[in-house]
Amino acid sequence: MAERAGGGQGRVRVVLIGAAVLYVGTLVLLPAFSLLRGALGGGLRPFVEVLARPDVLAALGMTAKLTAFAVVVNGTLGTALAFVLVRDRFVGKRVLHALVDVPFALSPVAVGVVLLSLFGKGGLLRPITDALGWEVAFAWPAMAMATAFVTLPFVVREVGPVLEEMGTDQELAAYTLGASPFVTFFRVTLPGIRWGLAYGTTLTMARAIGEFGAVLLVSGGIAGKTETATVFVYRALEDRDDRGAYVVATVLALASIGLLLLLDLMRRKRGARAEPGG
Amino acid sequence: MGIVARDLVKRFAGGSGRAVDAVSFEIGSGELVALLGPSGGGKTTVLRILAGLESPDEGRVLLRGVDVTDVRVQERNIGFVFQSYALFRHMTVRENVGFGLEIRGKSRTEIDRVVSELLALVRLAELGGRYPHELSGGQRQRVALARALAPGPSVLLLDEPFGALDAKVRLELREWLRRLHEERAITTVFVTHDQEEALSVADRVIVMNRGKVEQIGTPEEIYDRPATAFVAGFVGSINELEGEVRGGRAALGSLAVHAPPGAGDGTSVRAFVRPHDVELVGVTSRVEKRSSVEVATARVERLVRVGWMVRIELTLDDDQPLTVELTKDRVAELGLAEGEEVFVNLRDAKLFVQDYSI
Amino acid sequence: MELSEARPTGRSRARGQPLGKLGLRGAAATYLLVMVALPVATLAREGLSKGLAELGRALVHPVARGAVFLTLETALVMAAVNAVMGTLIAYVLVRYRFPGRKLLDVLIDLPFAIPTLVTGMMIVTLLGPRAALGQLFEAAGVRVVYAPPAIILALLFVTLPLVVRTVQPVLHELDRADEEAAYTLGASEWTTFRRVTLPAIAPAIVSGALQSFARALGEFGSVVVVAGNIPRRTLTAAVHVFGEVESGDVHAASAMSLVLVTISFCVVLVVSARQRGAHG
Repeated sequence: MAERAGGGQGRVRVVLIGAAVLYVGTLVLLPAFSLLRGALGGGLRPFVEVLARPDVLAALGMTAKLTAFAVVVNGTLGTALAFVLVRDRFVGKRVLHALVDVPFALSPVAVGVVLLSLFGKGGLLRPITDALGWEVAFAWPAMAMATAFVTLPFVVREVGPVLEEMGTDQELAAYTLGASPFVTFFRVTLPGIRWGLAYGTTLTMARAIGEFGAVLLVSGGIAGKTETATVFVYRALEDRDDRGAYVVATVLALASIGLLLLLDLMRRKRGARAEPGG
Repeated sequence: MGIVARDLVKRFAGGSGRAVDAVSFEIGSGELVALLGPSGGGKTTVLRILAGLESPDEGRVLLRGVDVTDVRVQERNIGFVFQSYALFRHMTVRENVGFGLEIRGKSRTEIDRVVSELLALVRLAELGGRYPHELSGGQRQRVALARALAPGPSVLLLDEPFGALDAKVRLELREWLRRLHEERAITTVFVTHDQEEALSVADRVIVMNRGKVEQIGTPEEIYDRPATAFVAGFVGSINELEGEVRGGRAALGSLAVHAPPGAGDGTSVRAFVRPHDVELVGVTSRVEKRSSVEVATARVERLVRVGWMVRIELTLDDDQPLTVELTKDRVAELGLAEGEEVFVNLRDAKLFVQDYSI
Repeated sequence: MELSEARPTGRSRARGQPLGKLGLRGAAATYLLVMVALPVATLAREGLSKGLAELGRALVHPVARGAVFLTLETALVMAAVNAVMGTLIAYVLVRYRFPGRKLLDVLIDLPFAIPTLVTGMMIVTLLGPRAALGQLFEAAGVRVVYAPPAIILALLFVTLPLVVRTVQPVLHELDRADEEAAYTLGASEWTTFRRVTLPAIAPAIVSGALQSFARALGEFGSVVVVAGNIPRRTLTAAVHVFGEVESGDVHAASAMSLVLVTISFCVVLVVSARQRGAHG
C-alpha cells in the first residue's frame, strides 16, 4: 500500500510489471487468442455446424460422462480418504499420504501403459475380466479408471486441510447436544468442509475434461464410441480435419476458462468467509 | 538542530483523510524524544517519513540542517529499529550487525572491529555466531539496535521498540536505552503508545492524536500542564467528570474545584482527575463532615486489589463514576468495604472548557 | 476421559457405528491402494519383467536414449526460465498494485485449467508453418514449431503456475520490514533483493522449479502436438512411450515409463523432504 520513497523505484517497478505482463501475455494470452481466431475465423455458423456433428456430440458426451464419473467417485471416496488421513492414526499412514500425490507425479502416458498392462492384450488381469465377460481396455471402464486416477488427489488435498483446521470440537459439541453421527455429519461436518469439497470437485472437473494422454492410450480411439473430446481433437488434427479440431478445442478451452473463473470466485468467497476469524 | 519536521502531511491511500496532518516539530542534536499517542494516531507514519521509508504529500524534513525530503532512505544515514526487529533470518548476529558497514564498502578488519565493539556494548559478545531465531526477544531487540547503530547514523529512529517484550525485559531495556543515549548522545526518536514509557525515558515528549500534534514538552510539562483535553485524558488520568462554573468555582456534581481562568458562570467544563488526586476522607458513619472542606459523598461499588494497590470504584451522589487508588494498608486503616458511603475530596484536577461544536 | 483420549486424533467411540465407519474408511483406503499402489507396482513389474539388463538395453537404443536426453534438456531449460520468470511474476503480484493485477493473477492458473492438448494446438496456430508469426520466424531462419523451442514453450505454458504459486505465499509472508531494514542500512533495491529477499524465497523457488521439472518429464498432450516427434531429434520420452504402445510393444513402453516415473518420484521426494525440513 505504502509507496516507498526514493528515485529509481518507479522505473524498476514499471520494468518489472512490464516484463511480467509481457511474459504472461505472449506465453498464455496470445496463443489463446490465436486459437479462438482459428475457430471463429469462418464465423459462428460453421462453428455451430461442427458442434452438431454426431461424432463431435458423441465425443463431448463421452467427456461429460467420464467427468461425472470422476467427480462422483473422487468426491465421495476422496472425502472419505481425507477423513482417514486427517482423523485416523494407524501404521503406514505416511505411506498412504505419499500415495495420494502419486497421480500428480505420474506421466499420463505411464498411467495409460499401466492400464494396458493390466487389462490390455496379455494383461495381468485380462483372464479375470475375460472370464467375467467384461470389456475394460479400449472401452469406457479403462477410460473412466484413467480419468479417476489422474484426478484422485484434488478432493483429498482440498478437503484435508479444511478438516484439519476444523478439528473435532464442533462435532463433539453436536454429540453433547444429542445429535447422532449421521445428523452430525450432514449438519455440522459437511457444511464445514463444503467449500473445500466444492473447490476440489471443480478442480477435478477441469482436470477430467482436459485429460488426454492416459485416455488416448486406453481408448482405442473408435470414433463415436470410445472417443473423448480431447482424443477427438487429436484424431481430427491427424486427419487434417482442422475445423473440427479447432471447434472442439475451443469448446474445451472455454469450458476450462469457465471453471477457472468459478474457482477464482470460490476462492474469493472462501477468503471473505475466513477473514473475520483471522 | 538534529531533526526538523515542517508541516508534514500524509494522506491515506485512496481516501481524503489525513494520516498525518500539518505536523511540525524541532528536535535538538543529541535529544531523546518520544512520539506518544494512541495507535492509529499517525506517529509511526511520522517516524517513517523522517526515515524516508515514506514520502510526505506536503512538508519538509531536515536532518542536521539539510533538507532531505527528496533524499532516498539509503542516503539519509539514519538508524531504524523496527517494531518486529526485522533481523535477517539467514544471517548470524555478526552478519546482521555488519550488514550496513558491508554495504558501505568498509574493510573486513574495520567491520570486525566495529561489530565486536557494538556487540560488547549491547552485551551480546558471546552470541555473535547465533541466528536470530536462537535469541530471546530482548536479545533480538539489542541486535536490532546494534545493527542500526553500526554504520554510525546521525539519527536513531525506533518504532515501538519495547512493544513486543514482556514487562520485566521492557523495564531493563528502557533503562539501558536511556544509558546508551547518555553515552552516545545520538539524536533519538522513539514511537510509543505507552505513556509511562514516554515519560520515564524521553527528554521531551511529542503527543500525537489523529494525525495532529497535541503537545510538545518535557515529561513534567506534559504531566503537570496538559495543553489539551486529549493530553490530560491520555496521560495519567482515569477519571473524567463533567460540570459547570458557578460562583467562580467549577462544580462537578457535588464536588468543586477552582475554576479555569477566564471561564464565566455557566461555562461547561470537563475535569480530568488522576486516581491519586482523589482524597478519600473516610467512611461517612465514622467520620464527621467538616463543613470547611468541600467534600462529597460517594458509594464504594467495588474494591479491586492489584498487587500492593487497591483500586476503589466509587459512584458520586450525582451518579458520576470515580476511581481512586490507595495502598492496601490505607484501605485497611479506613475500614473500607463494598457498599459503604464515603466522603471524597479532590486535591487537583485538570480542567478544560467544553467546546460546543453544535 | 474418553473425550480427552479422543481429542488428538478425533478417534472416538462416542461416535458409534463402528462398522459403518470402518466400512467407509476401509473402502477409502482400498480405493487408494487399488488405484495408486497397484498401478505403480504393475509398472515396476512390467518394466523390470525381463530384468534390469533388458531395461538397460531398451534404454540404450539410440531412439530411446535420444528421447530421454531431449526430455531432460528441454525440461532443464524450461525449469531455469520458469525459476526466473516465475519469481519475477510472483514478486510483481505480491509487491505492486496496478490495474490488471487481478487479471494477471487469474491468468496464471489458466494453464492448469486448459487441456494440455489444446495448449499444444494454441502454440501451433500461433507459430506453426501456416501462421503469420510462424512464417516470420521461418523467414528469420528460426524453427520454432516441430523443433525443441516449441517443446520448451509448451512446457513453460503448462508449468507456469508452479513456481509462481510456490513463491507467492512465501513472499507474501515475508516481513516487509526486512527489506526496509536493509534500505535504512544503505542497501540499494537490487542489493536488498539479492541479500535479503532472495535468500528467504530461494527454497520456494527451488521447490517450484523442481516441481515443474518433474511435471515436464511426463508432459505429453501439448508436446505431442508441437514437437513433430522426429525420432532422435524432436521425440520426447513421453511421446516415445506412446509410439511404443502404438506399435504394440508394451514392455518397451513400460521400461521407458518406469524411467520417467523414477526420475519424477526422486524429484518429488526431494521437494517434499525439503518442505518437511523447512517446517520442522
